[in-house]
Amino acid sequence: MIDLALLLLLALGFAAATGLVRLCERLVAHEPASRSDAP
Amino acid sequence: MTWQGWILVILFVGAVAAMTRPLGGYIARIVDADLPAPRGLAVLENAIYRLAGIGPTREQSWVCYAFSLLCFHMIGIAALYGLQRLQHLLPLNPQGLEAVGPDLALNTAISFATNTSWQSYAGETTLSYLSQMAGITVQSFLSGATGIAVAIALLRGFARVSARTVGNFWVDLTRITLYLLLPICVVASLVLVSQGVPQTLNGYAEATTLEGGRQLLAYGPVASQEAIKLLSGDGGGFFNANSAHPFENPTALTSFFELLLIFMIGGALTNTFGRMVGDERQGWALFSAMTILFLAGVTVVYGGEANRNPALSSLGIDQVASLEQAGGNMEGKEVRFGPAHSALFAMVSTSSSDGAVNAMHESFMPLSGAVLMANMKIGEIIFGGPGSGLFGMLLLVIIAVFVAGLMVGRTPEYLGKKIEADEIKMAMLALLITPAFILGAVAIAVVLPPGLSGPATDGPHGFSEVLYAYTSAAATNGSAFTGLSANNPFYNLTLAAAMFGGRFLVIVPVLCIAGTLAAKRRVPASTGTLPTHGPQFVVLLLGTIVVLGGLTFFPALVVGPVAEHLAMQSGGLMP
Repeated sequence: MIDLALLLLLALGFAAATGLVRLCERLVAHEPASRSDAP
Repeated sequence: MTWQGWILVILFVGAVAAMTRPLGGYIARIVDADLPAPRGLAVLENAIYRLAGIGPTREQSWVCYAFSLLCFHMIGIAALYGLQRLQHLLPLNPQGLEAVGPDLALNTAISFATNTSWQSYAGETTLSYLSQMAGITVQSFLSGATGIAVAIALLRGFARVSARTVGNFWVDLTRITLYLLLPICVVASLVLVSQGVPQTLNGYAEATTLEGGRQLLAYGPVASQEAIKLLSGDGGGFFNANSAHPFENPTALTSFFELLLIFMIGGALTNTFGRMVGDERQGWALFSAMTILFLAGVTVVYGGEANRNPALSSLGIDQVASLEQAGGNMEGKEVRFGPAHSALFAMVSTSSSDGAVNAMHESFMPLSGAVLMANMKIGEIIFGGPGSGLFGMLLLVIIAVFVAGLMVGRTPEYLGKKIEADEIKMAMLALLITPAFILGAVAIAVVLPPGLSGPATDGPHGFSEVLYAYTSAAATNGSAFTGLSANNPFYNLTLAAAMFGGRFLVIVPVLCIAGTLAAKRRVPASTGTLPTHGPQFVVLLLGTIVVLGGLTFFPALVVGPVAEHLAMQSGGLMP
């Protein structure tokens, strides 16, 4: 039972890390000036 | 301090500098797949790709790279956890050791998968040979290779122009392990064996002491674990005493060799960086900044340990260096190493993410302890762990050029890439995650009863024990102030959380920066471009590091080691 609880805790950590990936992806999901052709 | 001690320091820095260019060039060829590999290893590499279904020419976006990395390590953590929990049922357990407890097993699994190697246990009485070899040692390789892979992905971000990809995590991991870590480890293991480090699968030896008593001598496959423990920046010892144990580190020569193993990849990666961005001077600028910080730290720590301990002086204990003794503060140090080698080892261990020790950091003078903690708190950027030191330093470089841009009113640039809001946001996120875990966890531990039950002493030194533990965990170092009793559910789980956050939650924004930089075009240098390969930039970078680190951590250091130092100087140690 404790093993399952701890592995669930690990899964939560994984979810937090993958959530951070998605958050970062969203934060930079636009076209910055140096990537566009704008002066 | 003695001249012999300073010669040791100078020899060491010189040896690291001498290895930097050849090894840096070799790493650059490995990650560019530009290396004519030995036939045996090439066959193995291709077999791994075929078995795992990896397309070696297929590149990944930073998001895909990050997901691959996270999935790989979650599986690794679960596997190492299971191995420890079932070790009593598995082979290669000649001492019949029991299964590791659940909270300790999770702590250990996360510790080694994150390249931390915090050990709440004594290896020789807790882990079977199978757990040590198939669990700990394997994770040492993989976590070290992961750090290098992330750094390489970031370097590709600087090097590439208008690209959507930053490499392939599986290919990087495989090539770094096969062509860099494995060959060096084989040679290093043989060198260590030649100096007396054991490598055997036999059970522990029983010996009769001079007094006629019986003693069980723990040993095992030590040399192979020792080599990767140092090279990968992992630091987890086979024995509880780590590199202070004569079976891990028998002589002054092995100790010097171990120091080189810890720093060699961190130093070489600065040159890899220079080569990949097409200007080796950029790499040498970072190398110079790292060396200056390192020598400043060595001066304080060696000075502190070579001088007399006032608390022992008041008892009339002779601490003067002479032909009979090394002198200085010898509490917690091995006689065969003395204060110079112990101070150098402690500096190397905490500047990198290694965390191996050949002396007990708890017994260092308070200000020496403060420097060791500061090394970790600023992100272990002084050569650092393989890869993690370089990407940590590059985060600070991004902040430094941003500050420079603010001062002169220009959009910051680095290596022809404009540093914009995205990069600053991600750099600050990565730089704030570690302090948040360190200071947040310490704040919790020093108010809750289970946290307060850990330190061996009260007052500033007890606070330092807790502060050091969470600093070491979140910075993925793994060394400890050994007075802290950390093998209980509270510390095992909170330290595990700090290690997890300090590693994976930092890697994510670093990879994001790699992705945003790779997608950018290169801006031609102009007369207004800040040169980043000269002394002016090195000074700016050092100032940024000192100010950022000081603002974040100075208050905590004042409450711990600084208060202890002042109390000691005033003639009374605080309770």
